[in-house]
Amino acid sequence: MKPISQRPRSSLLGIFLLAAAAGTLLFFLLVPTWDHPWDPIESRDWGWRGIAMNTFTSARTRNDPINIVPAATTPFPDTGMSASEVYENVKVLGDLDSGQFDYLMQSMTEWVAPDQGCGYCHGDGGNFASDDPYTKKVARRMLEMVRDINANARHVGQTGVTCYTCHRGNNVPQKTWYEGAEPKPPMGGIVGKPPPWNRTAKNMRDFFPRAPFENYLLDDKPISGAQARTVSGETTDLADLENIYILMMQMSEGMGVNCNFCHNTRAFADWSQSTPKRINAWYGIRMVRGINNDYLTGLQGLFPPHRLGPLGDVAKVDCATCHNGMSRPLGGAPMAAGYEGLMGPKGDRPIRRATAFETRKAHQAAITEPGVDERDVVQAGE
Amino acid sequence: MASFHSLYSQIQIHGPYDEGLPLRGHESPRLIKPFLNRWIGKIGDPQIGPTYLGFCGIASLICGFIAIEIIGLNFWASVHWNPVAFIEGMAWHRLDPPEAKWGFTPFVPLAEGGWWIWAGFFLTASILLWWCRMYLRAKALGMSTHVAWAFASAIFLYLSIGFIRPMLMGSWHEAPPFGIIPHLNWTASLSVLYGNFYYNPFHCFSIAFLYGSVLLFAMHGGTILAVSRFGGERETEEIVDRGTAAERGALFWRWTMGFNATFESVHRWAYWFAILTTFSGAIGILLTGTVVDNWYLWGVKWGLAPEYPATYPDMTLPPDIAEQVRAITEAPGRSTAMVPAAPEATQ
Amino acid sequence: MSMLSFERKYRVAGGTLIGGEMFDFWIGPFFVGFFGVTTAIFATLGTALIVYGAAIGPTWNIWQIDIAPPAIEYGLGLAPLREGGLWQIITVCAAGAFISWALRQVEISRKLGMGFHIPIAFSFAIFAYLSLEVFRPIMLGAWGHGFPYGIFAHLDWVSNVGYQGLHFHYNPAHMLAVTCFFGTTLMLAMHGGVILSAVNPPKGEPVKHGQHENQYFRDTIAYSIGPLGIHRLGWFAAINAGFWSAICILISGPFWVGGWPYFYDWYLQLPFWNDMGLGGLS
Repeated sequence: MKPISQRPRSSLLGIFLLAAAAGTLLFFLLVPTWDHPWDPIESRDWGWRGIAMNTFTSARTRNDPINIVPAATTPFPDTGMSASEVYENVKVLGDLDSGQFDYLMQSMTEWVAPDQGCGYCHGDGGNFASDDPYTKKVARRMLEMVRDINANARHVGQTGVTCYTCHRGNNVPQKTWYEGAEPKPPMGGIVGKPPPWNRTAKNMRDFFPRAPFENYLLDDKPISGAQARTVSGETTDLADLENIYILMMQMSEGMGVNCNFCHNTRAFADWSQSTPKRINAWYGIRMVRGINNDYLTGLQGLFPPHRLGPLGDVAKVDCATCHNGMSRPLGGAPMAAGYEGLMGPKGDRPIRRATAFETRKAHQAAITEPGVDERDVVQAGE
Repeated sequence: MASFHSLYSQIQIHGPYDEGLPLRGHESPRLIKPFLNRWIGKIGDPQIGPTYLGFCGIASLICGFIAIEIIGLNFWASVHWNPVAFIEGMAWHRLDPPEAKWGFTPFVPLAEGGWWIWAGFFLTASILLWWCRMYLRAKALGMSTHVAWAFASAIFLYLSIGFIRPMLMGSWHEAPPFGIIPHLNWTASLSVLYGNFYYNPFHCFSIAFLYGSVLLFAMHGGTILAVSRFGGERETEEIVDRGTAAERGALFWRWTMGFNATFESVHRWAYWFAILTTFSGAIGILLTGTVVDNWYLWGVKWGLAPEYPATYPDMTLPPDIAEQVRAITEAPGRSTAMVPAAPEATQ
Repeated sequence: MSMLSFERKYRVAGGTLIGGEMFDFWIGPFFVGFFGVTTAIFATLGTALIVYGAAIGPTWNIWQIDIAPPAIEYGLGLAPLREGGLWQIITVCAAGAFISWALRQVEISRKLGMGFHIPIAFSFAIFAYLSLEVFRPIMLGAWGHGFPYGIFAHLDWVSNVGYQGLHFHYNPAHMLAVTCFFGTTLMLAMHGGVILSAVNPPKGEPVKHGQHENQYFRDTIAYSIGPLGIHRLGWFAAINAGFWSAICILISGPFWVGGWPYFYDWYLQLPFWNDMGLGGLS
């Protein structure tokens, strides 16, 4: 080492280390997305005080533009004639008043294809009765799906869904999922069994494996085996549990909540310590399975290749597709009100229109679940 | 004027190297020509090296190298040897133990968990050989073997997680995968599967000892630094010949909390808190799934779990959910503690 | 008397921060000082209120006693005693007691002519406590976010707060804090072990000193940080464990309301990964 008089006054290594530390700190402060407590963090309580069964919203989660409720439209007057009397080839909505029918068609255009207009489903040739465009056949099946959900799905309750609930003005809903290919191990499988992460994903929702969705929202593997023997009767495989865990995380993130929305985490399985939301979620999972299996997978043959996944499967739904980061889609705005055409025939399963919310204690009800939370709903034009 | 001598060394002595104590017996000569580093010298001793590598050390390094290569090459292969993907996904790579269907047999095809078993084997061998090294080096210097026995406690936890408990459960699958994020996923999954680890009393002990260890090092480190102006860091000298540093250090704590340790006994406090952290943790792991299936229910049984007033007293399960729950819980041997009272027929 | 054999010469006046000679005396082995008095007041009051809270609660089972904070609906206001107000007063007492204790440690350090490393380290622990019970609740807008005083009740809080982040292991500051915790424990075991092994040698061996300590670690891990260095390192690592723990809980909620795994979207979007041959789903 040189004598002190011949060494530079400042240490190069010291400056470098300091710069690296400062750079790392700046990177972490500036690059990731953070929330801010000064745009207030709203918190809600779902359990006894002090055990922290809370969910939160921030300015970031409240102000997602996809959750802006579109301005209400005025229904058309009834004409007194049915849609079948006025138009040809009306297979699902034939009995609907044609004024209602036209209103629904106009709304659907706004909900699903605001840029392309009527031609998106009906083609540009002017023959609205034609079934040539694949979008028309898909839309017909989706109408049946929406009518079924609104009539029979307990999960949806009084609120009802429309095309907008999933599509939000897009041809294809923003949050869907495709099945994942079984990754091919290299070198003939002798080494390097690839994990199922999606390495080209640009966000964590897409990064996580698809198996949780495939197993529990397409197949009906039981989720109830998540806690070992004493509770469930068998020892769940740790790999299955990891998939259940990821499923629950994707559900939570898709709805902008966390585990405490439904569970007291000291006893996940215990219904007596869970919230009524868990009941709703139980029905939601079954509704999603119904949508994916009964409606969406059957449409696979209709879609062109660019709408299909890497395995050629059709896009499927999970909680995020409708909820888009809110615990009630669009803040619980009753979008389906006034659309008689979106209410289908009742199925032969017993229907409970109401949810479990009315069973809570009165003061909880007043603060936790008003009809529509004003803070969650931002009208277009504001 | 403040002096920060206790925090970093403003004056370092760079002189002839400390060549070290003569070796006893038949060991090989020491390695690495020692060198001095000014930056490390600001915090501690500036000399790096010489070191010793005998049979145990060399064997340990070889086994460890093999283990790391098995794990690392599996990681790299899993992204088809793409170097960018290897780095980008570093936190996410995983090498999994065999699936449950293989039970606890060691004869598993390489691609189906065999590599995990080999990596685990070499890592364990490496760790055990390193333990021998820690033990033998102490003996060679005429010291006792406390450090080796502390290390043994940590090894006990490692073996409990990766070997003993899987053996008791009859399944390699219960062991954690290799991988930064994947082993954390395993930790969370284990807690959910076995009923929330916060209710495992040995988990409680382990945490108490963990926090206690950190508390103790803050206390002890702070004490020594605070009396460093009296030469307090010369602990072995102070132990056999108490000086003012030891006296002031002891009195600080006596006056603060009413009792104190001595310069030697504080190291016994430290030693045992650290050892008991891993030891009680290992017990907690070994009891999980073998003796106790659900730690929360165990806590309820032994009166540990607080009962909170019901937030939703009128919540009743709809018939279809109640039926599913009943089917699970009324099967023989199951616990009925996980459901509210079965509702009357509701419409 | 409760004095050690060498203690008398150290019992001198001086070093106090407040009160001069008024409280500069000992009770038994305990130094009093102005802050000893405030500690005693806060601690006694706080403990008595905890006992009172147990008395008006449903159980005396030591494991199940739960003194809970107010409901979230009370925001940052004062709540009725039985509805969380007790918790609020106990928290004030705890903070007062801890800060008084640290300042008393300063007075004792001054009296003994020692450095202030101990109260400095303790201040970081107090910072962690205040982060959990004061700063984070303030940032979230309600005292109800603090943890309850109860052995298993506070663990239920920990479990639920962890799951508020969906998978708390992904919290980067938590990762750093845990590393510091485990590392500190490792180094404590090594340091405690080496000192004990040096001064309790096998039969027939002389007691060993610094040269042997250095030699042991140079032989085994190629480097010995030395007797002063290990105490710097341990003190620093322990403080960092507490500090990053405080940071990890302060950011969880106030600065990130989502699940911690979903925080890493930015990592996947960094431009230099750029799909350079990364295999995707197919």
